Amino acid sequence: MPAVIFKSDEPSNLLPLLNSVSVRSVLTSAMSLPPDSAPRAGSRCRWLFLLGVTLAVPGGNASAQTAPAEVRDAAHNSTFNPWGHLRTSSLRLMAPESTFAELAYSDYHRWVFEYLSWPEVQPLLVAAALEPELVALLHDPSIRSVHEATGGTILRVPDFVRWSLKPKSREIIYRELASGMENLTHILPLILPDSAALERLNFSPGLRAAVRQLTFSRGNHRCLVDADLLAAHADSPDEMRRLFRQIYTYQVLVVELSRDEISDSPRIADYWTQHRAKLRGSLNQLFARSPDLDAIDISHFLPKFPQVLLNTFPDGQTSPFNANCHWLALNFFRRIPDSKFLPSQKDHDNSGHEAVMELHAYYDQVEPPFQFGDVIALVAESGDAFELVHTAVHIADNIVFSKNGIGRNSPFALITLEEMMAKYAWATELTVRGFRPQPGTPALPN
Amino acid sequence: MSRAEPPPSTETPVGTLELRKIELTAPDAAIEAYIDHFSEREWVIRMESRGAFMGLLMGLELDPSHRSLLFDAQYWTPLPEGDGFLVKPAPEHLRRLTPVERAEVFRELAFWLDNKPERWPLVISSESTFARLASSGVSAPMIQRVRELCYPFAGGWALSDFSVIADEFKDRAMLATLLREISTVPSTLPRLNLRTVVSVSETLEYWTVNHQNPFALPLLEALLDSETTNGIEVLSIMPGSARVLSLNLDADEVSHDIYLSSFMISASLAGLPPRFQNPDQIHRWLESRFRPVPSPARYGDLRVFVQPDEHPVEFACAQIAENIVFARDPVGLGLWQFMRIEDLLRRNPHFAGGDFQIRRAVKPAATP
Repeated sequence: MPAVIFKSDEPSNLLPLLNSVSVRSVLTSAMSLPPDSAPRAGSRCRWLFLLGVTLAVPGGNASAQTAPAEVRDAAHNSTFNPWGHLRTSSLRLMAPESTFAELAYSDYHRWVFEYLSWPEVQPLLVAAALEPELVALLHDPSIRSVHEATGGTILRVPDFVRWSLKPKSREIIYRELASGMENLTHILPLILPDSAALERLNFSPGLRAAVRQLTFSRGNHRCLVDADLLAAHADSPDEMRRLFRQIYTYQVLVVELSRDEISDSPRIADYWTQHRAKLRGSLNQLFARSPDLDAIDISHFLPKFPQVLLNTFPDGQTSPFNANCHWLALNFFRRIPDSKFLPSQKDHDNSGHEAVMELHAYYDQVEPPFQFGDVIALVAESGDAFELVHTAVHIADNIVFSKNGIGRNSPFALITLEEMMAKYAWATELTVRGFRPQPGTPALPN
Repeated sequence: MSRAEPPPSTETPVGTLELRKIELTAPDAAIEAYIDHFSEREWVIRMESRGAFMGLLMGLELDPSHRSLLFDAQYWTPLPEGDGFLVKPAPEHLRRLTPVERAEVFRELAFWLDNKPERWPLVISSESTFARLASSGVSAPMIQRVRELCYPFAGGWALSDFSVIADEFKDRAMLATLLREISTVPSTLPRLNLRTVVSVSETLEYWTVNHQNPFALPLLEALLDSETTNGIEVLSIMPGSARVLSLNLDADEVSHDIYLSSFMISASLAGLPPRFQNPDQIHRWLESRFRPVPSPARYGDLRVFVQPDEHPVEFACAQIAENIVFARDPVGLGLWQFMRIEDLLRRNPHFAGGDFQIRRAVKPAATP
């Protein structure tokens, strides 16, 4: 989930991207129902999605992250949906234990205040109730440096400082760090299970205390960034393993296209199979001649590349260990994935820049309603500059195909827009933009 | 499109399999590719000497007049590589063969990989297919010609003479309809529910082939942990190669023989991604990486077609559970799908009298 920054005073050809689909326009679209129609489940979801964005300023509530019902009827009965009637089930996908040793990111100790000079950072730390002696320590030149690109402040924070943060200090500082694009672990902190679930795990007193000390609150959730400091307080590796099994668990969706409405609306088949998908031209016939078939998994309609990846974690074979959101989203229709969207091994990660260039070259910016295969970009705007925070692929209704975060610990999965926004838009307001791949280009080969 | 009856389900120690009956049809692109590739007939007979070639022709139990017309010297030529002969039979002579003669000639031709329509003929498994052809707009003369060109076997009627039909009826759209209807076959789409499993560890071992397919583990664990009674399609936990191919057939694959891919994809369920170029490689690999095991078969086992006598085709499919396998339909266009093993055995005329041997992947030796 690398960041890229563009300013309007730079010689950039990316300014058209600023004509974004605003959150308000999504709202307008979602709410444009017939006057006599009953409220629809999808509309409510979109509202929550907007609420998640609107309230995703400090103090915001991430309630949209609440898991959907076990089996949810995503059909909208009052109006025609081109994607038909979807049946979704929610599953909790757990990262393979082999990945626990390799935590998602390695920048726990690196705090980057991209656009704040030290005189601006200092009062922020004081306001966060950081002990004066710790603020003084962070002033030390061996810890503090100037961001070469932005003039901001970089702190290499000693472990004991991170450990000693009070929960409220941690919450304030980490929220500020999460609003920048270089603090990947802060943007996507680990979410702990609820207190009851933690209690059932029967951790040792030392680990319980360490969890209390290192976590901070975000709405209804307890979040963790400094996972590297926990191990020293666990009784055994097995205790850490049990904790990580809970932390690296993701709510994902199994989505099926129901036979309902298919016979009435042949165009539904076109929605799913327009891009040379499997069963193109025969989907209606399949349902017509198969009365036993009440629904079919929509994975059948994904292009080959994402179809192979669905509900897996990067394993070094079907996907590289350092797979990220751009590699998934911008290769969606490619027959051979382009590795230029992967984060580089060098200090400077260029994948975000490549992603923006790709969107500009081979995609048309579009407004809702989005279509199957559109790239959904989450963008942070700041004055006349914006930053690409995340990309995913629109599937249908409020469902996206996303890889939240870099690396082996997070899956390629179908999730709701609300879930995705709750993960990314907790510390800063993000704008949703849609980009449609141009046929005949590398983004959508003929 | 109302649903008729609840699908049958089978309880196993490693989950409940719910079998949804479906009817699959080949994709339009694959059908078009079939018309392109098989509208003209070519036979390859790989015999190095002219004497051996003539001996084979003379050994065929054909009416002498049919033989002399079919294999007249004007219709065949030595292959440039010198390892056989290329025969381009005239449609009017093919038309003269009796059903018995067709079965005889086409079985001989099926020994060579080049002769796909003879090895993997189009198959009409029931009389109802003829009725469906009529209701789909296939003309009565074309249906009649199909009947005349088929040869019967235990699983229905086999048709290797699509080229004769294509020569006689130039209506490409109708030819496509013919292929579409013939390739529409009953199949099944299994769903897996793990709510009632007896042992979690045994279930995970079974569906990951003793952890050879670790990619499937997260989804299986999620399913075990889930309250859902809805289950998931079995395909969801299968290797990417199988997921992509299922219920489908790439147009590029239409012209290729079925046996090679049947081994490669079926073996991928056991976590072994083989790369084959020729039958010898398959045989060596099969001997070194899979060992015969007695019934019952487990998920990921290879079921390799064997026959007491020398048989013309080789084939393999992958065991899923109970009597369900993942296979390339061993006839015609060859869609990848789930089939019942007993249906599979009846599907191809060259399978008559044969059976499937179960072979299990040998665990790779641990590396120090």
